Amino acid sequence: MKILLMVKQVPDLSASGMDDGKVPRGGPSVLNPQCEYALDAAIALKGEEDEVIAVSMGPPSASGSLLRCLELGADRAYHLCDPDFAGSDVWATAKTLARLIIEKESDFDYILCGQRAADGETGQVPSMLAELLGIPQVSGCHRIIRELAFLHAWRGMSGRIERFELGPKALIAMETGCNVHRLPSMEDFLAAKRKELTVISRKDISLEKSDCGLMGSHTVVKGVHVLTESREGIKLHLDDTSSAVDAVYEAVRRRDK
Amino acid sequence: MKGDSCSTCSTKSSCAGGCERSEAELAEMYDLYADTSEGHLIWVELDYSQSNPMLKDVSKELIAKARSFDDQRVIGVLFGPESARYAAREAFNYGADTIYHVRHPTFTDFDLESFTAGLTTVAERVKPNTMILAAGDEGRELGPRAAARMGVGITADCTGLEMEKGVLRMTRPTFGGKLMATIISNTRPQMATVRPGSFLIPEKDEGRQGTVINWPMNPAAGIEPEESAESENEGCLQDAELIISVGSGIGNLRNLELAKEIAERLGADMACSRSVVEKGWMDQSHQVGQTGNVVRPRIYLALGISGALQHQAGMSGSQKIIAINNDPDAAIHQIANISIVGEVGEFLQRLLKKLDEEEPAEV
Repeated sequence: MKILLMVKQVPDLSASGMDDGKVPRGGPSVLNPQCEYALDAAIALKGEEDEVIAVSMGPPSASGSLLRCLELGADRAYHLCDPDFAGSDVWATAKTLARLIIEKESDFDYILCGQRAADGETGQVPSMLAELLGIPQVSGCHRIIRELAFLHAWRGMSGRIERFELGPKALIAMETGCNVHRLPSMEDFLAAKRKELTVISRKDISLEKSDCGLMGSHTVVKGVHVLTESREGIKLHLDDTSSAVDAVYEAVRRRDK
Repeated sequence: MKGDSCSTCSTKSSCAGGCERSEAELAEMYDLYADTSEGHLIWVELDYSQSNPMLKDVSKELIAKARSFDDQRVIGVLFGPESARYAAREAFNYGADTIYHVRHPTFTDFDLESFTAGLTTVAERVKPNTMILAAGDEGRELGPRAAARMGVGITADCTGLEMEKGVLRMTRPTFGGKLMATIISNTRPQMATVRPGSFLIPEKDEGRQGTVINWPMNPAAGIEPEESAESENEGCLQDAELIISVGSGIGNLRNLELAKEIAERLGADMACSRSVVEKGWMDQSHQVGQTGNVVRPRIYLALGISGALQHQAGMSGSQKIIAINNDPDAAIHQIANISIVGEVGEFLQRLLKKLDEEEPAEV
C-alpha cells in the first residue's frame, strides 16, 4: 500500500506574537496541527510492505516539517520548493500538488492530509486535490483503521457520525485524531537523515509558470487588517469589591438576553 | 505585425502585413473580452427533519444578501424530492428569482458527487457572476469540489461580502480570527462559502414570485457511508448558550469540581483549554480552540484562561466574554467584556456562596 501524506508547515502561533498585525514569516514554524493527526494515522496504518511518502510545498524552511515526517516513520519525501510556487492560493496549491502526484506517484493507494492549515484556515485544498485527481474524498475524519487493502474512516457530519469503507485511490482529510505528538529518538533522527528527500522545482513537474504560484492563482488578497475588538470591557478586581461576583452572577443568570 | 501570424480577420492569406488593425484594438472595439456572466447562484439548503421541507436559515441569509448586491438575477439551486418544491416559494419570498430544482427522491441526504455534478451543471447553464454556498460541514466539501471541477477560485468561510460593480469583495477571518483579509477572484463565477449567521434575515416578502425549473437527475456514482449514527456529544458545545471554560489557572482539581458544580446549577456546559486536556483533567471533546471546538455562546465564562491566540480562535465569536485571571496582563482581559483580576478559587467560592444565597438548593 502506498500512502501519500500531504503536509504543511505553519508559523508557530504559540511562539510568535502578532502584535503589529503582521503574520510572522521566517519565525519559528511547526508542522500544522491537523497534519500531525494525518502523520499519526499514516504511520499507524503502515505495515511492513507499505510505503508512506510525505509531500509538502513551501519555502526551504518547510523541509523541517518533512524531516519530522521522516523521523516519525515516513519512508521518503518530496519538497515542492520553487520561487515560482510562491503566492499560491488554494487552486494553485491543489493544482501543483496534483501535478506532482500525477507525474511522480500516480500509483498511490491513499492520500492523507490535515483538514486545514492553522495559518490560512481555508480547508479547501483537500477537496480540490481530490477533484483534480478524480478520486473520492472523506473530509473531517477523526479515525481510520485498516482492513487488508481497505480503509475505514469515521467522521462527524452535521451532528452524525458516519463510517466509510474506502478502496484504493481515495483521499482522507483529518480533522482531529489521537495527537500522540511523539518525540523522535536519536535513532529516528539518524535514520531520517539517510532517507530520500527530493526537492522538486516547477520544471521537474513540467508546470507552466502561469499555472502556479501567484500567476496561477484565481484569487487575490486585496487587503488585510487587524481585527480590533470593540468589546466594551469593564475591569473589576476581586479583592476590592463583591460587585465582581454580583456582576457575573447577574450576567449568567440573565444569560444577557 | 509583419511576419507574425494574425487572427484579426478572415483574409489571412491575402494579408501582407498592411493591415492596420491589431487584435487588441478589435477586441476593444467589439468588447470581445467583456464578461458575460450574470446573476448570483446560491446553493439552497433545506431542512428535511420536518414533514414539509423548509429553507434553512443560512439559505435565507444568502438569498437575501445576493438580492441586495445589485439588480441581477438571484438563482437558487436546491436538491430534493418532489416535495421540496414547496420550499421554492419561500426562496422567492426572500429574494430568489429562479429556482433550479434538481430532483431525485434520494436527494434529501447530502450526496457530494451528485450535488457537485448538479451544481456545476446548473452553473454551466446559467453562467453566474457569483456562486455562494453556506460554510457548513456539507458546503465546505461541496464548495471546493465544485470550484475545482469548474477550474475557478474559491474563498472559504467568508463573514462579509460586498459587491462593487460586479466584483465581489469577500472578507474572511484568518489567523485565529485576529486578521481579516479581503479577497477578490479573477475567475467567474466568483465563488465563496459563507459562515452561517454572518448576515441578517430580512422580513419575508409574501408577494414575491419566481420561476421553478425542474431538473430531474440520476444520482452520480460516489461513495456512501457504510453506517451513520446520531453523534453522542458532538454539537453540544457548539449550541451551548452558557459555557464555563477552565484553563490551567484553575489551579487544582478541587477548583475544577467547584466549577463543575456551578455549571450544573446554572445549566452551563463545561469546556477547557488545551493545557487542561494535556493534564488529563478533562476530555478532548471539551477543548475549545484552534484544534478543538469553535463555540459562540451568549456568555463565555473563562476561568484561569490566559487567552492564547489558539484558544481565542475557538471562542472569540462569543457574544459576551467574562474572564477571571490573576494575571492582569493575560491576553484574555483584552477581549473580555467583564474582566476580573483575581484568584479563580476564591472567585468560585464566592460565586457559589452567592448562588446559595439567591437560590437556596432544595433539600
